[in-house]
Amino acid sequence: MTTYTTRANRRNNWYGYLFISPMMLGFLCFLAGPILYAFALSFTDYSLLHPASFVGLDNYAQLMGKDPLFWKTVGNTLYFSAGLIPLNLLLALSLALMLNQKLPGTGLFRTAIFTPVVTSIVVWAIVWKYVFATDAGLLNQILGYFGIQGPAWLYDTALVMPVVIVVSVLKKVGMNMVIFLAALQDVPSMYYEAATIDGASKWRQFHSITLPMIAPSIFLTLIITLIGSLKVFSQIIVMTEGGPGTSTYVLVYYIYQLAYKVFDIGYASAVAFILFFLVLVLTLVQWMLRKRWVHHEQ
Amino acid sequence: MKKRVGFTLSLLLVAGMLAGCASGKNSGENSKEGVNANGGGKQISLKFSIWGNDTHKQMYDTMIEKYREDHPNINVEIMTIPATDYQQKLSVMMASKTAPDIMWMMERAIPQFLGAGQLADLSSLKTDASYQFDDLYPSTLDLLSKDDKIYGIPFSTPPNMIYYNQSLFESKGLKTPKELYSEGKWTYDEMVKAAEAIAVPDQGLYGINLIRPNGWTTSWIESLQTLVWAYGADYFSEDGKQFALNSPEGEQAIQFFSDAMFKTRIHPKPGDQTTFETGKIGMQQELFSYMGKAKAITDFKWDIAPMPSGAGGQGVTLGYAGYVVTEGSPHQAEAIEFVKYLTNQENMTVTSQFFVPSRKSVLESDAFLNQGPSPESVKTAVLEQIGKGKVRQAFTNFQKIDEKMKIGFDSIYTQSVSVPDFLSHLEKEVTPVLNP
Repeated sequence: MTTYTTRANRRNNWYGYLFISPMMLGFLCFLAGPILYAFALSFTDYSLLHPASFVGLDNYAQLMGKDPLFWKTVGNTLYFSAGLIPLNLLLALSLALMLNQKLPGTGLFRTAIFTPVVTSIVVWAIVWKYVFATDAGLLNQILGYFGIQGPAWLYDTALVMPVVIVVSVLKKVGMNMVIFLAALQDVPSMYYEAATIDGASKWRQFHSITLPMIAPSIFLTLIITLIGSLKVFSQIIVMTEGGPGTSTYVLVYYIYQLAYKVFDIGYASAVAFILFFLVLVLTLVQWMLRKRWVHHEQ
Repeated sequence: MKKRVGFTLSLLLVAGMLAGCASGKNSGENSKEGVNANGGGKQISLKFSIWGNDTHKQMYDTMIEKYREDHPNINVEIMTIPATDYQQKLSVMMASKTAPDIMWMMERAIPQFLGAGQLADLSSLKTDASYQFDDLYPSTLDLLSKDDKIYGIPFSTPPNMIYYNQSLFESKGLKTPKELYSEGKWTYDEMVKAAEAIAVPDQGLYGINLIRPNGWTTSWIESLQTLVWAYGADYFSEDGKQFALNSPEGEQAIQFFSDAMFKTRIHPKPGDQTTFETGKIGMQQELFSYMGKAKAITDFKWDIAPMPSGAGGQGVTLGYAGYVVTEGSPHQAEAIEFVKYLTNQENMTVTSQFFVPSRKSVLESDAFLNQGPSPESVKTAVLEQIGKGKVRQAFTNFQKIDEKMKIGFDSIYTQSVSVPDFLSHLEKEVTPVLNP
C-alpha cells in the first residue's frame, strides 16, 4: 500500500516537472547560464575584439579602490532609490485611499493613473524629455506665461535627478496603487464599524486598522519598487544619457556604457555583480525586518 | 485517462516551445529549397545596414527591386540601426559573426574595422572598365585606402553649411549670409551681429543654432568641430596623442560658444530642441541631407550659405559615409557586386537627392545643382566647400574619448566651471585615453 502511494506520487511529480520544464529550460538557458557566464567574465579582461584573459580579482580591486566614477554611480543609484521609493509609495497609498471611496468617476481616474504603466517606458521618457526641454519645452512655456524663467531642467546637475525621479514615479505609481486598492478592498468592513462604535477617529482607524491590514502589500510593493529602482536604465538613457556630466550615471547605465560602448566587458561584469549583491543584501535585510513590520499575514 | 491527457499536454508544451525557437531556421531553409526546385539558381540573401531613415530605405528598396530584375536570385534586406548605436552594435555583431554583408560606414568607425581586418578588399573595382573608378574624387577615397588597396566606396561627403531664414533677415533689413559671403565679409563677427539683431530670447527666437536637432549629447564632435577649427584651434594634436584644445585659441572658441548661450543669448540653451522649421532660428548649422526637410517649409523663405570664417579659416567639416563589405561574409562576391551597382553613375544620381555624391560626373550635373534652393547656392555652399573641408579625426578607441569629452562639455553646459578650468580639467581626463 505504502509503496504504491509513493510510486504514484513520484509519477505525479514527474508530470509536475514536465509542466514546469518549459519555464525551467528558459530560465536555465537564458538567465542562470548567462549569469554564471557573467560571473566568470568578471574575473577576466575581455573586450569582444580580443579573447578573454584571466586577471583574478583585479576588476574588483579597481572598482573598489581606483574608480571614483563607480562610487559616484553607486551614490547616484542610492539617491535615485531614496528619492523614488518614499514618493512612489506615499503617492500610491494616497491615491488608493482616495479612489477606494465609492464616488462617481473613480473608475476613470483609476484607468488614467494606471495607463502610464502599460505605455512603453521609452515613449514615456521621450515625451517627458520634450516637456522638460530648455526654454521651448512645455513646462517652461507654461512657466513663461506666469513670467517665470524656467531653468534648464535636464542641464542642471542639481535638478536633473529629481526630474528623472518624478518622471519615474509618474510612470510606475499606478501599479502600486492597484496593489494597494486590492488590499484595501480586502479589509473587512466590520473592523471599521466596530471602531466607529468605539468612537475611534478616522486617523486612528487608518493607523490601527488599515495600515496593519495592508502591511503585507506595503512590504511587497516596497521590495518590488526597491529592486526596480536599482535597475533604472531606460529613462536615463533616453532623457539624460547619464548627463549632464556624470550626475545621472546609475549602475545599470554604467554597466551598459562599459560593456557596449567601450567594450570593457570583464569590468562591466564585475560592476554587474556588485549590483547583484547590493540587491541581494537589501532584499535579505528586508526579509529579516519583515517580521517586525508585518503582523498580519495569511 | 486524466494522467494521459496531462502527460500529452505537458509534452506538447515543451515541443511547442522548442518548435517556436527553431521556426526561423526552418522557414529559411524551406524558401531556399523552393527556389532551387524552380531552377532559379541558389537563393542568396544579403544584409545591408544603414543608419538612415525611412525615405532612405524606400530609395534603396526601389534600387533593390531593379537589381533583382537582372539578379533574380539575390535578395537584399535592409537593416536600420540608429547612428548613435551604429558603431557599437556593428562591433558586437562582428564579434559574434552576425554582421551584415554590406554596411554604411562613418568616418570615425573606419579605423576600428579596417585596423581589425574586418573590411573586404574592393580593389577589383579599380580595374573594372565599366565602373569608371576614375570618376570618384581621389580625396574622398583616402580614409578607405590602405597600402594601395581600397576597402570601401564613399557615397556621401557633405560639407556642413548654414541654412538661414531669409524672411527674418529681410524683415530686419539685414544683409544675408550669402550676400556677405559674396562680398568676402562673411565672418564670425558678422554672424554675431546678425544674430543679435534677430534674437529675442524671451520669445524663443534665436539668431544662431550650431547644434543639430537632438544633438546636445554629441555636440562636441558633431556640431562644434567647425567652430574649433575656425578659431584656429583643434581638439587633438595631428598624431592624435595629445589634447590640443587647452590653448588660447581653444579657450576663445569655447568662450564664444558659452557666451552665445548664456551671455548674449543669441544661441539656444543646452537641452533646447527648437528646430529650424519652426522659423524661430535665424541661422542653423546643418548638413546637405537636411535639404529634404527644409524644402517642406512653406511659412518662410530660406537659403543656404557656407560656414563663416574665423581666425583659422572656415573650418568646414566634411561628413563622410561609405559602403563597405564585411570580410569573411559567405556572400562576399555578391556583396561587392551589389556595392558596385549602388555606386554606379545612375544610382549615385539617385542617392544624390540626399547625399553629396563622390562621383565628379554626378556632383557637377544639373540634376544635383537643382536639388537646393538655387543652383548657384548649391555651387557656393556645397561644391566650392568640398575642396576646403576636412574630415574629422578618427580613433580606434573613439568611444572612450567620446565619453570623456561628453562629460567634460557638460560642465560648460551646466555652467559649473569657468572655461579655463574646463580646459585644464579636460586635458587631464582625456590625455590618458589618447595614449592607451
